[in-house]
Amino acid sequence: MTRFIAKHSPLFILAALCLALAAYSEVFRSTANLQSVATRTSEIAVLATGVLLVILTGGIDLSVGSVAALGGVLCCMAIKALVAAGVPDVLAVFLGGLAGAGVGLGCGTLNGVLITTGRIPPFIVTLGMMMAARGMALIVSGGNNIFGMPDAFLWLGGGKVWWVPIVVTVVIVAVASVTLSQTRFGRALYAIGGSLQAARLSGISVNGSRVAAYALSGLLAGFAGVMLASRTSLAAPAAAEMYELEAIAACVIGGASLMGGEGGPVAALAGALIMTVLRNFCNLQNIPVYWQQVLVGVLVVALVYYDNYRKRKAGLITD
Amino acid sequence: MLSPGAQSLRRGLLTYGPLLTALVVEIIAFELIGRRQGNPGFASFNIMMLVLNQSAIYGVMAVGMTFIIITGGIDLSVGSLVALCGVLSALAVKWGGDPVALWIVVGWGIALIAGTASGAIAGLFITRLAIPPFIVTLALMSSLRGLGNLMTDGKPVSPLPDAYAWLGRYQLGGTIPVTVLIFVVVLVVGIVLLHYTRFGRNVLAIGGNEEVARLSGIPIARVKLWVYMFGGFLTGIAGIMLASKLGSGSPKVGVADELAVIAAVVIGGTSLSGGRGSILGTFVGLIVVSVLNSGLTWIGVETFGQQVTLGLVILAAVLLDRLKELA
Repeated sequence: MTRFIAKHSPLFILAALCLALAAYSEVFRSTANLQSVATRTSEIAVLATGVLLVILTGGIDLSVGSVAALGGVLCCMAIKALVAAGVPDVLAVFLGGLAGAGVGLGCGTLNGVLITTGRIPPFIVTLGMMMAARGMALIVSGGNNIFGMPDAFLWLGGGKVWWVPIVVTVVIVAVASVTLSQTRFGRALYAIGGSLQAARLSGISVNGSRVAAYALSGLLAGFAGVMLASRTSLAAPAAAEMYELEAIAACVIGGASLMGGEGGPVAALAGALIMTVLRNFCNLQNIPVYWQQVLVGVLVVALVYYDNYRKRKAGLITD
Repeated sequence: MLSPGAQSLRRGLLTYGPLLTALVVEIIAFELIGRRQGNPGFASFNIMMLVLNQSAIYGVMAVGMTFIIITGGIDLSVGSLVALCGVLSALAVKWGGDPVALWIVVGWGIALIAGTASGAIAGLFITRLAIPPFIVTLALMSSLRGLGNLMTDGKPVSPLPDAYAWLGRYQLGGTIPVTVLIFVVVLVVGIVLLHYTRFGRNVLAIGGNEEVARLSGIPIARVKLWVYMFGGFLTGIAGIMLASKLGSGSPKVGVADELAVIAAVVIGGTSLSGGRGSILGTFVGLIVVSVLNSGLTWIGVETFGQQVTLGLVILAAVLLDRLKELA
């Protein structure tokens, strides 16, 4: 039992947190507020799922925030151009979404190739991509927000039916979870993070799997950018700034190890929710944004320490 | 068989060759493009001093970051800490009043203590509680930014007496900025500490292989704690320099500075997995980026384009470094 709780401690922390806050605050447990918390978590959760794939291999992806901004901007520009060219709204939105996710896939693949074939540290490659993608987003948009989107675009972000982004996020997390635990690719990622050398010697296509991890992280980042643009019904080239750190923090609060080989998408989702719930509670209590910055920092350390402590007690890690 | 002198020259060239080549190519390219645009003079003493002046604040932080990265750690909090230390040094002057000179020095002291304390907190959490450096310093990044904003209600601390800006703006003999002098002193201290003391050898050993270092009797926790405290202290110096240069202590400055500083360290050949690196390399890496920034402005590339170019050049520089390893 102890072992079970320790293994899934992020989920229990989240549940305990939600119960405590719901018991304390009437506003927190109102349907409208819970909806808004869930909707607002969706983009971070999608980003975190992608980043998790990379973290599992022992790498890191700092570019997801910028790539999301680039994806959102390109998606909205494509939609506006297509609509202006007389393409039906729904088709234009679909193609625009593809363009946004596609550019993410491109950026991610480039990251992966430079890291594996170029043998440059992931931190540096994705840091470079972070600057380059943000610059591209600013250049193609001329530094301006893009708005005046067709009505059909608002579906994805929950502008029509509120639960759409939540269902999309849950599906993405579920697919990632099944892929990681049930497929050869998923097990390869854990193996690579455990020991790159051992994975190579046991015949895993190490470089192929790593490129795929970065490519998928880019794809999900581009898609998260489309979701964000859809929810806010505009694409801002300055959007999603510092989201990479939020996504990484979500993974780590969810128990992922930055050394690789440890972590899961459901736990990362729990990590993302823990952060949004705390922020939301601070907002409801009118705690100034500045205090929130302090609190989030303190809580990240406290939660990670608690997670480590439980795992060590249950004998899940030894050192 | 080469003589020892020639050997060390050869090793030096192999290590810094690609970066130095990149630096020279950059300077010549910007000079030539500038001339074509009817704007010669990039390759001049004044511009190079300007570049040094602009890199001084990053540079002071980068020296500390080099030590931290060599131990296999990382410090994401420097951008927030540099703002907080600047705010503290400015608040002391604002609240202290007369005599101004005394309170400026008190402000420096407070900023340095705060920087060192923040480093100590990071070091203690990392060594005593075994929380990864990335997490501890990510949390500090958020908390310290919040603290800086809370102290000043999010507004810059100003106006301050003119004397406050002396450190950041005064130029010795009208040519050499005080900030550049501080930068040079910090560089020299860093080089001596890393390459010529037992402490430096311990730092390199820990990053190379922590288990081996432990078995050979190096007090790992204590060395790491000192490394983070040293990094925090230097960030305190950088905070004082920055606030003085701006003439006000703003809680909003330094956002994403940690990434620029880490980039400079890594471009300079320090390995993020630890155990390998040098202060001189960090210096050259920083100057390569800084010359690029100034050069792009010199030839009139707008900010958006600069970001893209900067990203690409960082990749190119490190790729070049890899090719050298293969050769």
